[in-house]
Formats: sequence, structure tokens, C-alpha cells
Amino acid sequence: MKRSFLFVAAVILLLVVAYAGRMVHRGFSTRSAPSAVESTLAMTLRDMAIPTRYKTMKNPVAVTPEVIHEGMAHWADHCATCHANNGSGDTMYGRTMYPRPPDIRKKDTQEMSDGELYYTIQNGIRLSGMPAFGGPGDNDLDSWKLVAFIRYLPLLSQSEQREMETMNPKSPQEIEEEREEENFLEGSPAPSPPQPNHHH
Amino acid sequence: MNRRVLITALLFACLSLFARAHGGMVHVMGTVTALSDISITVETTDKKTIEVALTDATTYENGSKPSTRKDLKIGARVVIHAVKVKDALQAHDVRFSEGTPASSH
Repeated sequence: MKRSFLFVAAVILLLVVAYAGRMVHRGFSTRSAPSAVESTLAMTLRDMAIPTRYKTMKNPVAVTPEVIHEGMAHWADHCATCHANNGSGDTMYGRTMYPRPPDIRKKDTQEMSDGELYYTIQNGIRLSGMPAFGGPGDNDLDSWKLVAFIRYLPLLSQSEQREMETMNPKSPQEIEEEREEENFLEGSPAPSPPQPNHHH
Repeated sequence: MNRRVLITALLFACLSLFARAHGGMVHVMGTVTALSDISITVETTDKKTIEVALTDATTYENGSKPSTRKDLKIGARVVIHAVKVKDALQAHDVRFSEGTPASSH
């Protein structure tokens, strides 16, 4: 019994040392995406770490077009920088985060309960780019409205995405560039700066 | 000590500016000169020719209305937001209008 325990412990230790060695050898760059094993392990641990009561918790906010719109504005302002307006995660920051932000429209996220989504928004996720956006407690209405909007994301239309673009945080330079692009499409003479421009 | 803090703060400020300038979407603005199902060629407003790949995920807008690749015509004014993939550009979204070509100005 004792011998088999020692054997298992030695194997686990070896695996841990080998994995740590691989991590050090590979470096800590965020350019590559996590492996399937790493993702599965992290997702499993994250799911286990969410308190059980959140797994069955329903959104206390009645979902109306107004609530969806408020959640949309909140998302565009706070979340879209990493998650993108449409929830795909295809953004400048999202593309090279480790782990990458998930595509919120897909099954893995949409199958989470309302409470699990709320808990994740409120408490963030360690060792990822996801910060905690709220304090303790289950009554942050803004976060519950975000949960309602997350449920709506798979249905988001292109015109709603355009509307969200007007709500995204922008620098004065970006606002000016957008204005130039609009004017250009409406037929005004082209602006003088060279093309292409890099930004966001 | 204060100097070291100042230099560190400046370094971070420079790094964030660099990321904003080089890490995101490339904006291509000009007139469509060639078009296929997989790419679009644009003469930019400063007379350079740039080819941008089109993908199934590329979205299109004519004015402010959702549109399709088929509505896009040679000579249209276009603003493309593209992602740089290795040395090529891949269109994320294409906005266009059928107004006067930019090269006529």
C-alpha cells in the first residue's frame, strides 16, 4: 500500500517537474494559445471553484429590450476591448491574451448558468486577463443586465454592432479618424495623411 | 530613486503608445480597382495599391446598411478594417459607398 502510494506520488512529482520544465523552456510569452490539456484543466478547476449556489441561480432582472440595450452599452464600454462587441474575442488585446477570451456566443459560455456568468463578471478569473468588476453580493443589477446581454449576443445584428461601435471608448485621434472615414465615404476629398493607418 | 520611477513610467507610456499604433487593425481607405471572391485591391488615397484578402467572416456595409460582397463594385469608395496575418492583410469589415472615386479629387 505504502509502496504504491510512493509510486503514484513519484509519478505525479515527475509530471509536475516535466510540465514546469516545459513551461520554462517554452517561455512565458502569451503569443501561443493554451494547449487542450491546459485549457481543460483550467476550465475544470474554474468550474469547481464557482460556489454551488451560483450554478442554479437565475437572472433576477426581467429581460426586456431596454435591459438588453443597457447591457449592450455597458458591454461596449467595459468588455468589448477584449471580448469584441460581438463577443468573438477577436480584438487587438484578445488575440494575444493567455488564455484567449472565449467566443462568448458559443456553447461553452452559453451553457453556463446565469449565476455562473454573474459570478465570473463579479469576481474575475485568476491568471487570466479577466478582472473582478464588482464586489461581493448577488444584487449588482448592472452585472445582471450584462448577463442578459451575454445571452443575447448570439442574436446580435450587424446594425447593433455598428451602434455599439459608437459606444466603445475612443481616443480623440480615433474619433477624428472615424469622422474622416465617414466624410470620405460620403464623397468628401480624401484626407492628407498617408494610408494605411494603424490603430485601436 | 525618483528618476528611476520617472524613467519606468515613461517607458510604460511609450510601450502603451507603441501597442496602440501597431497592434490593432489596419485601416485601408481608397477606391476599389480590382475585385475577386477572395480579395479586393484598393488604390489608397495616397496612390498606393494594396490587396486585402476577403474571408467568410468579413462583413460588408453599404452606407450604414448591411450588405454583401456582391454589391461591391470596382470604382466604389471603400474603408477596410483589416487584420495583419503574417505579411498579408485580411479584411475584418468592409464599408463602401458608390460615390465619386477618391482618385478624381
